[in-house]
Amino acid sequence: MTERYWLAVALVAGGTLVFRLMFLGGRRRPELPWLVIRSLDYIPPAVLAALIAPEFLNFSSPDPAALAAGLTAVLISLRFKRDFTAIVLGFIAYMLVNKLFL
Amino acid sequence: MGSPLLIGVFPFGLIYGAAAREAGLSLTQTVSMSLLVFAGSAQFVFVELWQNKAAFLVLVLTCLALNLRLIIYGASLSQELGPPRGPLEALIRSYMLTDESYVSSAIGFRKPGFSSRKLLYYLGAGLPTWLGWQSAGLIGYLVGSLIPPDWPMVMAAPLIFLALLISLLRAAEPKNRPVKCSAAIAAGLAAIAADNLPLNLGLLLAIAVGVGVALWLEQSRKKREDGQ
Repeated sequence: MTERYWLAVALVAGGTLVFRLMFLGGRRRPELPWLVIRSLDYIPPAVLAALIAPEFLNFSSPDPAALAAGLTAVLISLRFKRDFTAIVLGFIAYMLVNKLFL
Repeated sequence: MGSPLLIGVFPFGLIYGAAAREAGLSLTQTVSMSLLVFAGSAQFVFVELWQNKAAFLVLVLTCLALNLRLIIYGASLSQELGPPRGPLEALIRSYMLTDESYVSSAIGFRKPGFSSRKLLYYLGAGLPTWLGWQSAGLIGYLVGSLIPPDWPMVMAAPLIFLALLISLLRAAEPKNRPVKCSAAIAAGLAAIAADNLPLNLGLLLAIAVGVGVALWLEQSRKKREDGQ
């Protein structure tokens, strides 16, 4: 279990360092194809959305509290542009719905 | 200018430390990951997938996919900073590359009357971010046991990712924002549909769907623009 942990950390850390060094680490700038550059731009939103969507909206085990937390956080974040406030209020919405209705 | 960065990453660092403890990691493991990886969102994803017992490759690939954006940051920043003067500078400035250091430099360099040395300005953003992230992770781990057990810590990671996603979409160029939003929506829907695939494979599939849809939309926009 711990070997697996350290191997995973090493791979993520090593890969991340390569990404960081790719343009900042040397004199020569690598030439990446346009299509690759474009997809790099879309990967982070896709990753984050793929990670969270099933947590907030899950048809096999619906959770109204999670949905309320997500909606609250989205609305606060869009309206007031305060990320941490959005997280805290989302959290509170989750607890409230759980306490009041479930 | 450094203190807002230090304060900005601090709460997230606290939650990272607490979440790592909750996932059963040791203090050494938690702190080492911060020192070696030094990329907040990927560390959250790591802890989340580790706790969910995701397949090894899914965990590594998802974390790396999330960090691919650092290539873009590096490409943009290297235009400003120029070539490094030695391997040590190359290593330090690369290691310090984060969302925070990139964004505050990109904004700072464009301020009218910017006159300081760009590398120092960039490192001046990177160092407080680093200090804040490292210390907050440690403190979060140590005080993690004080968190009331009825607090739904399972929601911490999804809410943080959600806030990250929205701020990412908000920061996108207006021209590009609809396509980025479509990438997120397509990936989200695909992830919900593929949630029951074994080993969290649905995650990788959903990422591919999101990026594929975005590229396809972008191509068709280009064609439309060329046609006009």
